[in-house]
Amino acid sequence: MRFRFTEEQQRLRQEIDDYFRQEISGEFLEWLERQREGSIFSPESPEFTQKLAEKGWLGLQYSRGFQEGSIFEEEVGYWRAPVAYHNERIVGAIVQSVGSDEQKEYFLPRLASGEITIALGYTEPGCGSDLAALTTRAVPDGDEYVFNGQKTYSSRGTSANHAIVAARTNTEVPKHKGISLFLAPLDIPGVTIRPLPMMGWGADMAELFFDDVRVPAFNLIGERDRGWYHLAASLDIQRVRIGEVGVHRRMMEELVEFVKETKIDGESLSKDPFVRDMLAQRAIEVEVARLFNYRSVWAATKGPVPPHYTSMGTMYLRETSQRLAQTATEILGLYAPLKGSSKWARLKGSAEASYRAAPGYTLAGGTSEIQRNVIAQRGLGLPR
Amino acid sequence: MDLDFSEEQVMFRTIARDFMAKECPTTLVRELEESEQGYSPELWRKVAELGWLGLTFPQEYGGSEGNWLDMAILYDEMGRAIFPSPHFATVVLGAHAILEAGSQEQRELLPRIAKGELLLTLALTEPGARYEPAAISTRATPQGGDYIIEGTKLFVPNANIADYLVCAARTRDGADGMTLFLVDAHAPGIACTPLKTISEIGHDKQCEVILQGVRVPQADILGEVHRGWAPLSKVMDQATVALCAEMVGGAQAVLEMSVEYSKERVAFGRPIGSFQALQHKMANMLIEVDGAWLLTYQAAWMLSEGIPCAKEIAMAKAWTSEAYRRVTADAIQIHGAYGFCIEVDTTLYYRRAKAAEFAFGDPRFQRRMVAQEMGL
Ligand SMILES: Cc1cc2nc3c(=O)[nH]c(=O)nc-3n(C[C@H](O)[C@H](O)[C@H](O)COP(=O)(O)OP(=O)(O)OC[C@H]3O[C@@H](n4cnc5c(N)ncnc54)[C@H](O)[C@@H]3O)c2cc1C
Repeated sequence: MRFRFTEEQQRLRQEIDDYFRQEISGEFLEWLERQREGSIFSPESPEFTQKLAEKGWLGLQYSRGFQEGSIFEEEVGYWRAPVAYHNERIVGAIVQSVGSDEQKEYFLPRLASGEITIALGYTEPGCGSDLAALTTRAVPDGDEYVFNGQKTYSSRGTSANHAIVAARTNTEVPKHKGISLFLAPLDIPGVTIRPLPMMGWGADMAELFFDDVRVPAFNLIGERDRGWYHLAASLDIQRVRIGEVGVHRRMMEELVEFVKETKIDGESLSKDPFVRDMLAQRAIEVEVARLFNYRSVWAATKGPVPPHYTSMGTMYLRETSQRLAQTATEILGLYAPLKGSSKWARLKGSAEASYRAAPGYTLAGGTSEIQRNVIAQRGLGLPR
Repeated sequence: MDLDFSEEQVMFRTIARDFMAKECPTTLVRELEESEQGYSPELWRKVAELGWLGLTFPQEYGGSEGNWLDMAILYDEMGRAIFPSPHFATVVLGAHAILEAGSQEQRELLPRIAKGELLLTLALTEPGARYEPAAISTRATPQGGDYIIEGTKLFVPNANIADYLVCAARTRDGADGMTLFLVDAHAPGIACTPLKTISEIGHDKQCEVILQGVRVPQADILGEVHRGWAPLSKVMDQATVALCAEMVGGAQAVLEMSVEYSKERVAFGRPIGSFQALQHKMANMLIEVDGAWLLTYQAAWMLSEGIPCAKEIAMAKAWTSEAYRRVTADAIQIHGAYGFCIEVDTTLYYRRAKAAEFAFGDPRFQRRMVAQEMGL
């Protein structure tokens, strides 16, 4: 048993940490903070992403392993580095596990270099939790598939150049058995993208419409009609939230700094028993969330991750995120609702921004209720 | 014990609900939130015609002598409809400060307020961000028969459109050295800047108001010199009850939306409302909402009857703030990603709940008041 990373892994973390500390500073940092307006989500900077790609860090999970990829992701979160990367990581993992050699050769380097950017096209207006009920059709025609249907709540839908789309390829079989996965470009005829902004969750959320869209058969990833099972496996990876662990570590540090510096009637806020208790509790929760998630990372290096591991990691982390956002607002009191652009804003408006974004946490990538179902049914073996 | 509304109250509520449903769709709410003024003068005129501005004023000042239960009913409906107006700032804060402390002459403003001709607000809080006498450091210094006011007011609702500010300023050190002034909002030396916040709907729209060498004649003191805190506390109590009622209305609305939606939305071949996970959530929501309703209307009733109710008001605000916050978050969860879209009303209630949580004392402050009233 060992709750530490190897020395080599620690050196890697140090190297990444040093790099971010140096690069995300000065004018660049100021630009970033202005763009963020307190949001927990950083904007994307293609130039910066390029630099990281050149360092080989975007492809760490292929070149060195899942643990190394996770270490990088945690640091990205902590430093709020302006690189969108999670989706590429998920899709990369799918291609790596079920893609053909040609597909690996084509997609993996492009995902690692930031050339291909990804939106996730799973949810439809008629189905979210019950994803297998999806109705978007992909009908084979020669060496192409013709797509018709609609996807919704697609994060980065307006900014990515590709989407991974789950579509029905067989209507004659039970719902789980007729779904396939496609990695489709979004700049092709018949695709319409309509922005659908969500509260505090970046402006690139969108609906994707497909009208007789022709996608080459090359873009079918994995086995036809087996998409549901590929997807289920990838959701396990999607539900490892190491990046968010980094985000929370940072937020905790900033809150602690803030209560130490803030004085009320000459007393530092950090002396307030209520504040101390609340922050101590959140710190424990963030630590537990971190451990849950690294347990999944560790399990992934040995084989398939037990599904309830990632459900526990995601659900607990995200409910902690919501409590942390609430705690931040309670500490700031009347100042909490101020946006980052206000000269009166405290903590650059991050309490306001996190509180607005918070409801999305327990929805995105599977709701808390669904995660609890998974924990109960697949973790504890309770009857459905 | 009788928890029924009177026939008149039921009628009043129906009229209010119908009016707001017709005149104030949430598309208008969103539009107004984006606008500089934050309210619709046309709607304001109609509200004046309905008699809602003078609802609680004596007849001689153009009012209809309603009580705080009537006001609670109105705010309950405004909360439900997310009715965006300067009513809270103008009537509950401004006009009632005049009613509590004003001279005969100052009360002459009331009929004009009732007609919708004047907008007021209360400039109380400062960067210290607390509702306590010690947190007021804006100074009013006597100078040749006038007072000169210097200081920064923060989180002042609707100050950007106000004609008059009821301004709390320190005239001497110590707990009771606070005086209320009726200040022309356009007087030289006043600079008002709207704040960017999580919700800028109606009275959630707040401002920074900087007063620099603002000259106020002695005649514009509201009440007695140094003795401003007593009438102000009464106004704050009343305002807290109105705010609670507004939260109750909002909370009830989102609960109803959630129940309706969960009956319609199907997942795994059944309405999501049939899942135990959501049923338990909604059962908890009902407890939160009905608890808030009972505490709030109890406080409103006690205010109306003139029974001391500091503890009941603090209990109502502590419970209702948390209930509203939790219920609006649960409503989004139940609606799934649909409820998290900016264009869906659940997000309006969610943002408002956060603004209301801290206004007039957050739950922690209120629980401290409760403990104090319990003799701890
Ligand atoms: C911020 C954000 C980002 C997102 N990004 C993406 C993306 O990039 N790509 C994408 O495809 N989708 C994305 N989504 C969509 C997300 O995956 C869905 O919102 C989620 O799966 C839930 O589906 P739904 O919204 O349709 O809710 P529904 O499935 O309609 O659920 C509504 C309510 O019913 C409950 N419920 C449903 N089934 C059960 C059950 N069996 N037991 C108990 N309760 C149940 C749910 O928990 C929820 O509370 C995103 C969503 C959000 C909020």
